[in-house]
Amino acid sequence: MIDEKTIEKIAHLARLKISPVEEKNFENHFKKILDYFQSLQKINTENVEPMVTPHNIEINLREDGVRKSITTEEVLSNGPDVKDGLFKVPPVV
Amino acid sequence: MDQVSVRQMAKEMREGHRSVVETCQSFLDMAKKKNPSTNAFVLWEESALEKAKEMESRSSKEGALFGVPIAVKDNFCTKGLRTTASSRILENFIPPYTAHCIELLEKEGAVIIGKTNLDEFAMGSSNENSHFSSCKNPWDLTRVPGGSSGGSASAVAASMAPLSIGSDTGGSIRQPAHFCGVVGVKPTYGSISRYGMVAFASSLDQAGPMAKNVEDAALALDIMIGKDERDATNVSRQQESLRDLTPTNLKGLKVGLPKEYMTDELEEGSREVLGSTIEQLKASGCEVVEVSLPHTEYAIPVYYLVAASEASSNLSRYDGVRYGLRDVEMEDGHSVTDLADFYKLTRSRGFGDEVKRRILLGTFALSAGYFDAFYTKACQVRRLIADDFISAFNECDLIISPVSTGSAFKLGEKTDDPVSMYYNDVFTTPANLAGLPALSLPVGLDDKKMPVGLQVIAPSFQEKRMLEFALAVEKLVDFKETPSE
Repeated sequence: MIDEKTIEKIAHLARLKISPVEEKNFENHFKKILDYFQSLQKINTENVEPMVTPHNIEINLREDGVRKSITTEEVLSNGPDVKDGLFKVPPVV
Repeated sequence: MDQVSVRQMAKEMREGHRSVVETCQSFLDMAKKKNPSTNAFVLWEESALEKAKEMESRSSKEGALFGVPIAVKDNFCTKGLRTTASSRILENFIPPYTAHCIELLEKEGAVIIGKTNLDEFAMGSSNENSHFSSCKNPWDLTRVPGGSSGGSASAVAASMAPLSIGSDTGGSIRQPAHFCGVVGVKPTYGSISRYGMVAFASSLDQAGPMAKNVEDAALALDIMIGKDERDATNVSRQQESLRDLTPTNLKGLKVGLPKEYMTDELEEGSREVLGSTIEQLKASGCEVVEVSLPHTEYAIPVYYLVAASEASSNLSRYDGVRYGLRDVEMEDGHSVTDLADFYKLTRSRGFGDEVKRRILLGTFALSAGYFDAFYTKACQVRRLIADDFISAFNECDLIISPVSTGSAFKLGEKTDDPVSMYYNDVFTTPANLAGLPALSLPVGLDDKKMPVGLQVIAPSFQEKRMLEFALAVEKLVDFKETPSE
């Protein structure tokens, strides 16, 4: 199920660049991990509701109103490249 | 070194019987003396002493943690103080805000003295996956402190700070607490706001305190629990106050010992220590009953699938556009011209191997064709694991168990085999999957002279019951050993 091509495809989906050495390494680790994870397939989970978050927590949405947040300056303060109040990126087309 | 409790320390500073500046200075001196060998801290808060001076000069001294120096795991945002999650991708990140739970501690007078080491993005069980290199165990510097909150555990164990803050996604507070012989508590999911805590797996992540004793950890936890509308999964407080605890009367208390947790994989040394604690409990009139958590063996695959899936989504925010590392130079020296390459270069150079491995694993589990077989299946088995606890708590008040399969292992011992490293978390991940409160409390030393912790798990929001029991166990075992380093 896991081969070089799959790793390449997943790496692209995850926007990661993997060197050929890393690829081989990941492939080995992946095979081991997924073999281990195959054990789940033998459990009968018919009619079991998937649990995506612990104990049915009610989602607490705050009131949707205008409020003070951090300033534009603070938002931009960690920008690798900032110009005229905007994040600047290299031309990519 | 100062061995008074945090509560006592704060009281003396409030009343002016103890100097805030001297207290801060003495912990900083100790921390700076021991850091070259332990590597527990990755950054000092240079203005800590200034803050201590300002506090000392106040006419009204208030706060349950007034003047208490604390060490904060470096995946909690601290305004103006670099926060890296031990990752190269956040090497220069200066947060414009502070995590909610850290704000609450500071409001009660805590003084941050530094940020502590962790596995990159809290992904690891040994603190060996850190961009700032491994943290060491003060009991034996050739051993790991556990992970991912290795720095916070090491700092408290070595008396570099009386109190530290960690985060626990699959055991990251409890396992290092066990490895380093300190108390570590993970509360019920939803109790502490996750706002400002660098996200790893959002349905599992919870913050929590680490301290030398149960009372200090309980005090810090009580402060950290609070309603915050910036985390939609944060619930209104349901726990009773944790500030004035009375040790549980062990007589007549029923604690469950899961038979699946006493496996052959448990090291003999840990088995002996835990066995003797159980005997002491019984001798005190506590009823220890066998309970069953039949889906325990699936906790690791479920945990790693869920955590990796959530991580792959959470970590997609590191794209080199708004903050963090940006690296756009191709191997040939030219600047990148393709958008996918723009993201790929930054991310590949910014993330370490284990983080990449988990992002890939999560992306795989969430991708078309595999989603149902892996992610959905894992979520279904997660419910079965949570249901196991509901059944078990019908037969006992609390569950006790080992924290890990053994005591602290050697640096490098498990780095080549991710499955063996993952297996370390088999006893801690179930509480995260089920969202239950759990803690680790030191109960003895094994044959390697390394600390062994006892895990206590309680039903949701029963932190008080859990901590009062821990207080009783603490008295009973009277663990007084301290590390040599």
